Amino acid sequence: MTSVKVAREELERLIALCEAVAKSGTDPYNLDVKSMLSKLRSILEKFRNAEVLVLDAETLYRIAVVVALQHKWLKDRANSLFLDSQVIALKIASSDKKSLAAAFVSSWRPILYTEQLTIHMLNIGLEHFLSLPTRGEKTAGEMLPSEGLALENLSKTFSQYERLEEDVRRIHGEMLGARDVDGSVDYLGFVNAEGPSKVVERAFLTAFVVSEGYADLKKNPLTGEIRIIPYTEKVKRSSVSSLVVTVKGGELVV
Amino acid sequence: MSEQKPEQSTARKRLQTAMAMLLFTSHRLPGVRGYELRRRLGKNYLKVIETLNHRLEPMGLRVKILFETVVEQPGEEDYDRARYFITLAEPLTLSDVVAAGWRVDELAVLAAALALLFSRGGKAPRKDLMELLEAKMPKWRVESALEKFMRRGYLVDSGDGVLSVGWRAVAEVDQKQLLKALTDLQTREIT
Repeated sequence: MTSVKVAREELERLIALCEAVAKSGTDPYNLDVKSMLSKLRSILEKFRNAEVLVLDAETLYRIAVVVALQHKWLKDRANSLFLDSQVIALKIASSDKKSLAAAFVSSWRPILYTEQLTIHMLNIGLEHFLSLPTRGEKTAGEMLPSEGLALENLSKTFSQYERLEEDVRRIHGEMLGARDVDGSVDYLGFVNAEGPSKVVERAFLTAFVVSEGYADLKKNPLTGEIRIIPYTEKVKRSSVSSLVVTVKGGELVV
Repeated sequence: MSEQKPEQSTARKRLQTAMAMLLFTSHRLPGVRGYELRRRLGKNYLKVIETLNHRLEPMGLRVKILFETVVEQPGEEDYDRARYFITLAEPLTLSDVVAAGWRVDELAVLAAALALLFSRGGKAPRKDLMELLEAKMPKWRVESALEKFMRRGYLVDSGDGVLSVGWRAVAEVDQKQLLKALTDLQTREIT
């Protein structure tokens, strides 16, 4: 039983060797086909087990592939003027880029063709389009005036803008009122002031105030604490960077 | 001008059809298969291709036939399965190619990759090529050039870190000429 196992392992090793040569494209003459065949013969004479016979046939097939590769290898070597790959590598390493490019161009005859939209391309485009996730329908509130709002809706839109401005002014006032001794406000506490249901709205309005230049956000890199520094007047900044604050399930993930 | 005979008109029409089929890409890849030409031009499509080749010659173009496998005496089936392209008859100069928008370092990467692959029977580990080229230019540039040539069909990455020669390189690049040019280049530099 153990000898069958040894024979099986030996055959699997031979198959792996042949496979490696076929996959990597290394010199197939590195394999000694003759000794492999004699090993195969001795295994075949000793064992008539079905499993070994199947492996034996597989090994024979792999060896046949290696022999075919040896034939191809010789043809390719003849085509490559029997130049060793090491010599080629050395030549590539010692040539400058322009000479390499010139050598390539001298042997290059590009194909002439015109590109146009084909049925195949249309199919690819259609597949891509169909694979896109479905977006929810836009509500009237989300639509911009340029997206074709009727004239009668414009007054509603303007009143919405006015309400937003009022809210921003209100939040700015609240910020100024909530200042600590050092003139700053805790961001988490401020956006949570009206409970979890208002977190997103207050964070959104705070972002407006900060973007407009009526406040700054400072993040402590060690503790991760974010503080708002509100200003009574609009401040002009020399450099601006953005800060991402994630809201998940009504709570902040900073 | 004398009026054309019906057979002349048919021959002319066939030439026009063959030219259009060879120039316009109707599939993912340029060129057409022999059986497609047979379907449109009839069983004597090889004669039409031969005539077209003669007409293209003065313009520096030729019809290139790429057989699926290397055959010494191609038969009718081999011609039917072969792919037909129109290519330049003579190579361009480096300045022409650069003027057409190609970068010298990208061409150098392609030259090195193909020369190495040809010398190793058409396949080589990608890392061998990377090691060779990283001494000449930044890794990111080599990577991006290799990706570009893979997309264009000059190189094929089989996924296990082994590169092989793509269909386009077989169609467009003269293997012997590339290796000879590389050798001559070195001989000139050494002497």
